[in-house]
This record gives sequence, C-alpha cells and structure tokens, in this order.
Amino acid sequence: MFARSSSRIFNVINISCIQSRSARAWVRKPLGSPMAKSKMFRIAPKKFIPADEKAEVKRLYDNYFHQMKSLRQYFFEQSLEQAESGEVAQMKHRLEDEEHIRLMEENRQENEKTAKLREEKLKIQAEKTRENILASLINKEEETRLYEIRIEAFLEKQKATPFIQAENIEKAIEEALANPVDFNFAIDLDGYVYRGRETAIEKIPEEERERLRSN
Amino acid sequence: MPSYELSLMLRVLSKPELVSSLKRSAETIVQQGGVLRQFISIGTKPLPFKIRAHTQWHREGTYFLMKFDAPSSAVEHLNDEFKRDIDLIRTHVVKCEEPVKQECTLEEELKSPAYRKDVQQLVEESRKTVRKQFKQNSPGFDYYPFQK
Repeated sequence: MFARSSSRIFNVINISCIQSRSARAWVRKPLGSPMAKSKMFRIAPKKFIPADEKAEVKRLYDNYFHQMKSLRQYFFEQSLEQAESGEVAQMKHRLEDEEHIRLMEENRQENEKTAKLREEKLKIQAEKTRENILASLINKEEETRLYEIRIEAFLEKQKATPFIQAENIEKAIEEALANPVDFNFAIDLDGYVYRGRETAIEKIPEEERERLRSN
Repeated sequence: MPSYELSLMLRVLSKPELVSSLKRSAETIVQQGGVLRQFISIGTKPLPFKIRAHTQWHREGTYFLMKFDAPSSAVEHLNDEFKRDIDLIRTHVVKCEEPVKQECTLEEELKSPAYRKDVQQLVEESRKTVRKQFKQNSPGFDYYPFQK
C-alpha cells in the first residue's frame, strides 16, 4: 500500500503528530539509503586560504595563547604565595603541627602500653615452653626406659624359646618328615572339630571328638 | 629379630635328596644369622595347577614349613638364594606376628536389636537428651485467631 519513502514519513507522523500536531519532526535518513540523486555528481569546492593570511591568523592566535598562558601562570603563582603566607594558612599550619604532635604522643603511649603487654605475654610464653620442653624430656626418658624394658623382655623370650642347633638340622628334618602335619579341619553345627583333610567322621567315637571351647 | 615363616614347595625327590635339599635351605638361613625354630612337613601332594619352574613342568610337590628368626635385612638375600635353587618350585617368606586377641561376640550380635546391649545403651542415651519441643499457642492469644 505504501511506497518505501512514504512509509518512512508515515512512521514519523505516527510518532510525532500526537505531540507536536503541526510540522513533522526532523528525522535521520535510514541506514543504507543512497545519496540523493540531485547530489550524486556534485563536487564541493575546496576551501582555500592564502598563505600570508594563514600566517597572520597563526600569529594572532599564538599571541593570544601566550598572553593567556602567562596570565594564568601569574595568577597561579600569586595564589600559591597567598596560601603560604596568609593568616588563615598559617593558622592551618599551626593546627596541623599541633595535631601531629598530639598524634605522635598518643602513638608513643600506645606503643609503650603494647610493649608492656607483649613483654608479659612473652614471659608467660617462655615459661610455658620451658615447662613443655622439660615435660617432653621427662616423657622421652620414660619412653626410652619402657622401650628398653620391652626389648629386654622380647630378647629374653626369644632366648628362652627352644631352637634347632646347626648340627641337629638333619635330625630335625628327618623327624619332621616322619610326622607330617595336616592343618585342615572341619566344624559341625554342634561345635565338634574334625582334624585332617580326609578324616572319616564316623570312625571317630563320640567320646574322643574334640570340641570347641565356648565362653 | 623378627620371626618369619618360610613355606617351601619342592619338586618330588627321593628321601635322601629331599633331606639334603632341605638342609641346604636351612643352612642358608643359619648363614644369614637366622635362628631355626621349627620344621613342619605337610607331605607330598598334587599341586593346585601345573607349575613351570627351572624349565620343567610340575604337577606334584612336597610342602614344607620352616619357622625361624632372622634379621629383616636377610630376607632379601634368602629370597634370592631360594630363587636359584632348582629343587624349589616356589618359596615364600612371611613375617609372623602375634595373633590379635579378640573376644567372640557372635552370640550377642545374633540377638535381635532390642535385646542387644549396645542398642539399649543408645536408646537410653537418646532418652536423656532434651529435645526442643514446639509450644502450642506460643503467642498466647486468649481467643482463637482463625475462623471457627
């Protein structure tokens, strides 16, 4: 219904007419719309300023710039001087110095207080560590004593247990070979133990059967 | 010196050969500063599976145990020696530790939970702790705030 250009206007009117009610508001060309046909081949004339005129403008501008700069510098220095030597400034300085002295004094007192506290704390700590070290030394001594006792008992036990002497080895081996041992066993629900892998249960009379110890 | 147990699995030998072989192993232990305690023979039995040792297959073997005390540094050397002995199929040195003494509590454990002592203790303890209980009508209105 609407052409492209007219739809643009229509949109704008739609937005702006309610508020302004008169002329339509200025609107930007949409992105991607081409250059106007009437301006397509127009070449804008280049601006030209003659050299002497350019130099004159520059001279005037420089003059103005330097004058303003020196003025600014002058006022700035003056203000600094005033800040240093003025009555208010001196008052401020004095107050600041007083405040500084007061704060330093406070700091010194605080330092002294904390030093005293620290000293006490360190003293207690040192005492504690000394006690700890003593206790650990005593503990260690006791431990070594007990360890030695344990070792002695162990050695005595080992010495007391019978052992096979080097010349009896052959005899002991032959003895062992003559009496082979079978570690297999079975337990029934009544707590009877049957030693040996191939033991026939029926062959053992009930009086001779081994029974597990019950607590 | 810690106590060790050496389990030997020998190939089937005639009796004098077997004795000399065992004596050889026993003497290596003595040479390493060990003290022999006990010899136990378990007998000749079929192996659980066929085993190849020293380029031969074995289906039967003689089992033998040696209990001894030796310095722990000797065990490595012993293993090395036994590995090279062609009469031995397999060997293993195990450290013997004293068995842990434990009381049998199976009877207690087989009871139903209500009769077990530890469960009863837990129940008692839980009864002691005071639990926070919700107070009914906590703001204490003297009228019922909702529609009846």
